[in-house]
Amino acid sequence: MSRAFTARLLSPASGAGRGAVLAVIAAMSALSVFTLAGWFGASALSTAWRTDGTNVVTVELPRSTSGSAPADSVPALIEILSHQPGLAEVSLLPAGEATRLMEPWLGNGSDLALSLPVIITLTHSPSVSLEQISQIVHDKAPDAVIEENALWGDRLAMLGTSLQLCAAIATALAAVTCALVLAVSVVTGLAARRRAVVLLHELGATDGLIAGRIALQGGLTALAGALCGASLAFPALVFLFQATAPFRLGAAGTTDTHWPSGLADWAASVVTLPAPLLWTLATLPLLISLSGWIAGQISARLWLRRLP
Amino acid sequence: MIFLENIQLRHGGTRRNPGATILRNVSLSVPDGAFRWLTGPSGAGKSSLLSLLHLSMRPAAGRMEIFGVAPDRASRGRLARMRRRIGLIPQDYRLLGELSVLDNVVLPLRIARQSERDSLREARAILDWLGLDGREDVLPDRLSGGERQRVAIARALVTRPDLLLADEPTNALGEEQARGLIGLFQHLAHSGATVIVATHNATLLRDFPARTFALDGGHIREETPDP
Repeated sequence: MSRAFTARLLSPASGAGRGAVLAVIAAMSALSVFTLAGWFGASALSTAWRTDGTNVVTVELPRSTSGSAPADSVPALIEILSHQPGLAEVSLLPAGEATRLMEPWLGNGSDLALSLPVIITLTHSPSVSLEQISQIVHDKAPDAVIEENALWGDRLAMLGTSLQLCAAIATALAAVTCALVLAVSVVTGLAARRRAVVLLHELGATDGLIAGRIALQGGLTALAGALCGASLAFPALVFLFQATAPFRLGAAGTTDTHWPSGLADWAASVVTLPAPLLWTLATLPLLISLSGWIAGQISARLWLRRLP
Repeated sequence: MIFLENIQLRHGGTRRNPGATILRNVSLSVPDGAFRWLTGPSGAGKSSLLSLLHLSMRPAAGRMEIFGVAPDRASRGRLARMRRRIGLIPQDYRLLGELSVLDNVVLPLRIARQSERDSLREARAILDWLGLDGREDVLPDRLSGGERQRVAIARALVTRPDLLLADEPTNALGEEQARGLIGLFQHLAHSGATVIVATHNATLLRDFPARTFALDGGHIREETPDP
């Protein structure tokens, strides 16, 4: 059967019904664009938190009750740690910086009645364990407190993973909604065109032939809706990506948002999106189209089983 | 070859509440290349028997074989291929109103995936033979009853079926056309096709003598011998 001929005879929905189906698929497609972007964002954050925090160790050396630092032990300890193989970036947190960090909880640093500990931070390679570092530090400063940031890194990574899971679930729900809407549309269309479908069946059309034509229409409808939704969502995604620039680039020291000045700038900023995200967004309409085709096949074949 | 044994056919109903029985213990056999009449009063079950033979209904009980195949054991794909070998001229024509006369006639050939060019040529030839030349692009709603019946006949014959089932095919035709059509059916039977024609027309039954199944109340009351 020619495609135009069967498209006329077996279109899953027509008129207002088809418009509503397209609108729902477009909305679900736009939602998927944002949830997928969220998935990639959460993945990047999770990776950053895990790698940045895992190998950092903080050593706290309590001050004496008079508030004086253990003057002899600190430089010696830094010297020892700096020359240990597998340890790097051993640095003393300046007292002013420590006071500034504690300000939100303890008030102005100059008024502090509490003596803050001396803090040394260092990073270590995976070959050096926390126990080895602890032994080195405690030999020189028995009352030192050693804290590994990996614990926080792991917790943040877990948070990132749960955010990814939420995004994946939202994407899956959007895909299921698309498939269900198309399935309902196909069944409604078949019921409305029952006479034509029954006649094709009586003339010897196989279930595969009828379902194939219906699924093709379903797939094309889903593709059209997905392309509309993705096209509408993409500029908003680029805008949001630009808005999060200070957050993403904070580690590099950039804290100001640099908004593109013209259309060409905006177009150029598209390439700053991560390549895996761009590829995923490019395949999204095809995946939604495939889900529409599958929904068309399954719902049409189930409906046709009613016929002898 | 058609073979039915103790066939029962019910219409509608559910498992708990079976529907009305339309055919009761119907047994018949028709060899390849035979022409048979099917007669009986209105409501006797003629159309239902033709629907059963067209594989559009499933029997509730009994044994049935068409083209040497038991439909209840055939896959859905096989049943579809069997239906392509059967031409049905329904009493209500069953034309698709949104398709032109030509598209209606060419439909079975498109389903059988014949080439578009050959399909159109064959469809036009049969429409010419049935006096519908020049009406190819008209929608069925704009045709007279007789013309619609001829379109349904053309659609059933265009595939050159091995089994032709005709339900009152001459109702809306003039006497000459009716006689010409039955003559064609008998010619098809001589060429090897099996033809079963349901009719009330006593003149045709008299002028074209053939073995006849007389249905009444859902069972075969009488089977006349070959003339």
